[in-house]
Amino acid sequence: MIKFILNNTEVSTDQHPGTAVLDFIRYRQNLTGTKIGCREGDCGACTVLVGELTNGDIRYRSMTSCLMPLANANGKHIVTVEGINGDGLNPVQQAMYDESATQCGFCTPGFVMSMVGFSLQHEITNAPKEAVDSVDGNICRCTGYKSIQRAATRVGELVSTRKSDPVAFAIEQKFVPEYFASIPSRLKALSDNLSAVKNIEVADYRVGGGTDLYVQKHEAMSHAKLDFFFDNPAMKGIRIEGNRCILGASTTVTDLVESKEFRKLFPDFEIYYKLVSSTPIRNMATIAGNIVNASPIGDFTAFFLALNASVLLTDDKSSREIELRKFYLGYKKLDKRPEEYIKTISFEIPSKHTRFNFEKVSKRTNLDIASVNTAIRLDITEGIISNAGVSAGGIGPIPTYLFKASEYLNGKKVSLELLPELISIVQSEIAPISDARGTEEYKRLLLSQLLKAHFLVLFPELDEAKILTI
Amino acid sequence: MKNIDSFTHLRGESVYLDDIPVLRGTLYGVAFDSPIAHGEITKLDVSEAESFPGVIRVFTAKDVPGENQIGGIVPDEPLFADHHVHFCGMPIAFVVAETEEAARMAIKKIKLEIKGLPVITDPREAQAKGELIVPPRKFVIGNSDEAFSKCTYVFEGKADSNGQEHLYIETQGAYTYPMENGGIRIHSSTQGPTAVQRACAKVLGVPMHQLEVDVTRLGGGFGGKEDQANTWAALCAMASHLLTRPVKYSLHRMEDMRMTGKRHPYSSDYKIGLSRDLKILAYEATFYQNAGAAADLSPAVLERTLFHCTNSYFIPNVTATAYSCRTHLPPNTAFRGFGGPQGMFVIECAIARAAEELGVPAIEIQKKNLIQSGNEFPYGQIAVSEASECWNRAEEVYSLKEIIAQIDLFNSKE
Ligand SMILES: Cc1cc2nc3c(=O)[nH]c(=O)nc-3n(C[C@H](O)[C@H](O)[C@H](O)COP(=O)(O)OP(=O)(O)OC[C@H]3O[C@@H](n4cnc5c(N)ncnc54)[C@H](O)[C@@H]3O)c2cc1C
Ligand code: FES
Ligand code: FES
Repeated sequence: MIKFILNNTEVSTDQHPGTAVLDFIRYRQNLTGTKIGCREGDCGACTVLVGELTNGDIRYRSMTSCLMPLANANGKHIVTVEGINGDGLNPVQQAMYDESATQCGFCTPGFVMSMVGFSLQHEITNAPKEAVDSVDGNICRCTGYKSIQRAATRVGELVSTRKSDPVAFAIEQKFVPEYFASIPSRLKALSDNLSAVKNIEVADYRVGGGTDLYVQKHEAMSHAKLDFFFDNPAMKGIRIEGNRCILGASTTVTDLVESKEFRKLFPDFEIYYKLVSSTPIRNMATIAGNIVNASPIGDFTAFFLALNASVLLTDDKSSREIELRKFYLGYKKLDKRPEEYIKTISFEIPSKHTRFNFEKVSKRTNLDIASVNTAIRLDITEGIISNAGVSAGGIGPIPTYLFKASEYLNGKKVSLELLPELISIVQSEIAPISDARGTEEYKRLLLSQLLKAHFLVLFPELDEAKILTI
Repeated sequence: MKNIDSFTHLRGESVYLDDIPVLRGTLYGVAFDSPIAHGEITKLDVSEAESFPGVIRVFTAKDVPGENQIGGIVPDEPLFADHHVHFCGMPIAFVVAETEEAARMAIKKIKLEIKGLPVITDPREAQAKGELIVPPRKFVIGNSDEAFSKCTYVFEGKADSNGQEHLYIETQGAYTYPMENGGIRIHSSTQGPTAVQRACAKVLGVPMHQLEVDVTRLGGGFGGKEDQANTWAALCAMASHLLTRPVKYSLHRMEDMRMTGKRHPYSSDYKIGLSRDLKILAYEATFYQNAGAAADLSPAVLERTLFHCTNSYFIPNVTATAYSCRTHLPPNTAFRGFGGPQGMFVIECAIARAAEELGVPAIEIQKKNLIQSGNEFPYGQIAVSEASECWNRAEEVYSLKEIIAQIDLFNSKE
């Protein structure tokens, strides 16, 4: 039995745990304010808020209900547009009304939910801008976005006046109805008689956030035998042990974003993560999911390859650790037995001698997968590269660790002169194909340029003009 | 501009097609469509699909009670592929079942054999083979041939503009149910209720007054739900008519993108002639419109291309020819601008080309040739024009000079 609070009502259901939350709320609960635009996580029309109690603290995050299994709602507060409606219009709705930000209206509830989700967000530094960023997972075809941008900016301005607890503020400003105040204690009560969604001995699929599976195997998910990892406490958490950082397999991109320890290791992480999918997808997407999906253009695969990360595989009887760079055997072929799954991902933490950079080029800046991406990690002592790792995606059938390029850099003195040779070595070890994201030639050129970008970012002391003319 | 339904839109209370509460006994339909762009159907066996649990009926061309025809302007678009398929995504059968899921699973049980035939996707190839939707259209003013001989500069070139998916966020769909006295109510996510009514009446072989088309509000279709909404309405209405049951079909995004037409791609040739002081004296353009497999609204879109072929400029000698070319793409259709952008794009390419060759900024040519009140368009209309005032205002409001200076400065850096 899956139990959760849907808006202001406790519900329990014995529906198949793989049923998309979207289908449950629309067709079982008759809450039709949540719309269907794509069923692929791309349009945001189905956005709902998911409230979760951790250590007595409630956090709300936006998620695309089309990709979310019912099992991942267990024990949580699911909020649809019906659940935030008050008497008239709330401040988000009013701002959108005033700015004419709704036309055909089909995308509108999704935008409203993303912005209400923003109003409940904990960390806020530049609210007007962040409010606009919060709709990065919503598509509107009518308005041209300017009116929505103005509305979001107004919402952000209001939220920037917040001094109290996010939920208290949201209630006070009527972003959400009063009943939100009762949710933490109700979730607590619910958690006392909650049963974990049954783990199945032999599962057809293991589900993390579902953001790949529900796109690729949409029809199978509501019938298949599934095992759910997203809320498995043993697979959560980010911790530092000695000189290694260890991520639970179900760590989401947002968990990384919100982890102070992790952010300290990668000061520029904000630049990188903004290039990955969208707010609601980042709230769902797990790192293990990204690694096992093995897309040649995955972003965290490239990120962790350059860090020479390892994954800990287990079949619950025995475990083994394998370097990520040896994990990929061919297109979507992994050095992993079917019974094995990832428990943790770990990597050596960057030292003060380490420089790291990640670059991604895609057709659109937001909500797009890479044409080519690449990451680089260099340990440098007294001007000499003591340990190098270079990775790239979109240039072959697997997320690629560039063995030869990394080897070439080892022991070299940092200088401009490394670049031409580095580029030519990289060109010899990649095999991009022409597809919708670009021709082979274009991808080769992109990677060369991105290697230069790495140098520009990592070595501001080098002559910029010269790098650009190489 | 505020939408009149903003309040309910913002609260998620507006009712779209898939939000209509379903009636008891509602059945769900899903179209089975052609996997290839052109071919002859040699075998179609729906028996296994029909015996799939939950399936009520599988309809094909032979079940159509009226005419198997939904073409609006030209009757050249079968609802169901009969012996031939003309585009990838063309409906061949319509599976109706007790649940949407059963219908989707049953589709996989349909056995189809098709003998592939040559596929045309290039409008120029279609034109060369005489595959035209309607006879060519030509707009002429003055005498361009003669005028070219007097021009100081003449440039020729080719301009291609590609298609575009509407991506209305609500996909296409219809929900139909029988009423008293043999009537049918049709809820359709359409921009053209009358087109839906007319197409369905033809397919069902009933008078239009028997069919009631209900659409709460229009908008958000961008042209993609004019004639392209007819198919789904006709499929559901036909099933409702024959089964006397409510029938619903709300398309998945993938089906919608696969089966529906888009903005027309165009391939065009231009020839532009200018005087020494950059007045455009003569212009010749030939437009090859990629209409797809059926007329849909293509002839009207084609005319609009001609109407806009000189954009906001006055050109005294123009010959503009347009071909609506039949290819094996889904029937292309209306899309914001309705052919206008495809016409304007070509004259702008011609001007850009001339500017580049002559080493002058394109805006110099554009500004010099803006149409003035009293000038004549190539189709004979006398202009009442505010083009120059508009241009001058825009220069001022957007500080054009400064913007250009900034661009030049930026570009002067390595
Ligand atoms: C709209 C959209 C945009 C996207 N944009 C990007 C992008 O910009 N960059 C990018 O890299 N990706 C992107 N993705 C892809 C996806 O979000 C990521 O790959 C994500 O990290 C997958 O994680 P998940 O938990 O959702 O995976 P799931 O779908 O739950 O699982 C994916 C695969 O991993 C397996 N799996 C999950 N956890 C484990 C485990 N612990 N052990 C073994 N196997 C496991 C599953 O069985 C499945 O095979 C996008 C997806 C969508 C829908
Ligand atoms: S329906 Fe488009 S993101 Fe879920
Ligand atoms: S208002 Fe129509 S898609 Fe946004």
